[in-house]
Amino acid sequence: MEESKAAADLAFIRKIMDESSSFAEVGGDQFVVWGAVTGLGMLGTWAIASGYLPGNGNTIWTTWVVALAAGFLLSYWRSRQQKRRPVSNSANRQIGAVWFAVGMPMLLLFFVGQSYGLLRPQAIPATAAALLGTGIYLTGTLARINWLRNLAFVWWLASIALMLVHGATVFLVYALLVIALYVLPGIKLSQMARRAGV
Amino acid sequence: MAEFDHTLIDDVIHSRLRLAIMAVLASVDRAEFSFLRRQVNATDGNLGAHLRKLEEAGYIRTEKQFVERKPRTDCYLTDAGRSAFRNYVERLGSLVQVVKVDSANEKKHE
Repeated sequence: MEESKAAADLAFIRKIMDESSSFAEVGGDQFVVWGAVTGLGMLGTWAIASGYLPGNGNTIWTTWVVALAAGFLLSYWRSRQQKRRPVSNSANRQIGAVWFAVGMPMLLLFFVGQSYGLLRPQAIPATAAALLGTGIYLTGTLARINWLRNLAFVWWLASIALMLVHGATVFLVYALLVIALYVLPGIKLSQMARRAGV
Repeated sequence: MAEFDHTLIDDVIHSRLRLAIMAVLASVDRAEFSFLRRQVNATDGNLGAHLRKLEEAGYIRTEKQFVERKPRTDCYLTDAGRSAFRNYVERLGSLVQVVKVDSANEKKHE
């Protein structure tokens, strides 16, 4: 065996191990489910807060409980349908941890923060946008999907923009943003996973 | 020439495709057949034959099951396989080192 062959084999091993450990199947379907659920929740909030639909604070609260419950059920149903991932590796575990770490503060801020009046309802879209940007940035980095990582910057800019929007309109703007910058990328990610054929 | 014992190179792993399979499995906890096929760029038959050889050597373990009437094979590296792979990579590394030392000595003598 020659040195060049051994060196080439080592480089080959390194490359294949790097590709396999970093292979990440980003849950595009989860993006679609949670984007649709939160988008509809925000749309409902806007419609009620603007007087287009009858209701009050309690109705909005109920809307969100129903929306999030639907989100968890749909998310569970999709993950049951997809069965196990084709590979269990560190990248997929890290991405799962990222979304758990992003989801928990969202739930805490929305339910506990609002219950105690620590967070104004109008502040929620900007907060959610900032947290989503963080989740998307880390997911894009771990999965090595550049366009997804760059999408995070759009979400962070959107977060700033949402801080400048006043009144109930902020909920409508967020609903449109989540469809354009979360549901549509989710559809693209699902298509990518199907094309990869794993 | 500095010492290098070629008999220490593991013949089971020393095939391009089996080496690739071992490298993939060494970097993940579990890999499905379709994922392995994609990573090592092999046909179903070829991959299956090499997986059998690695399984016979006790380097990998496979789990076969039917999911919605479709067969699914999950592959895992065993402890013996992990150890063999680590040894193989160390041997390759030492070979590269041996040849580097030899060529450095030759340059000195020139």
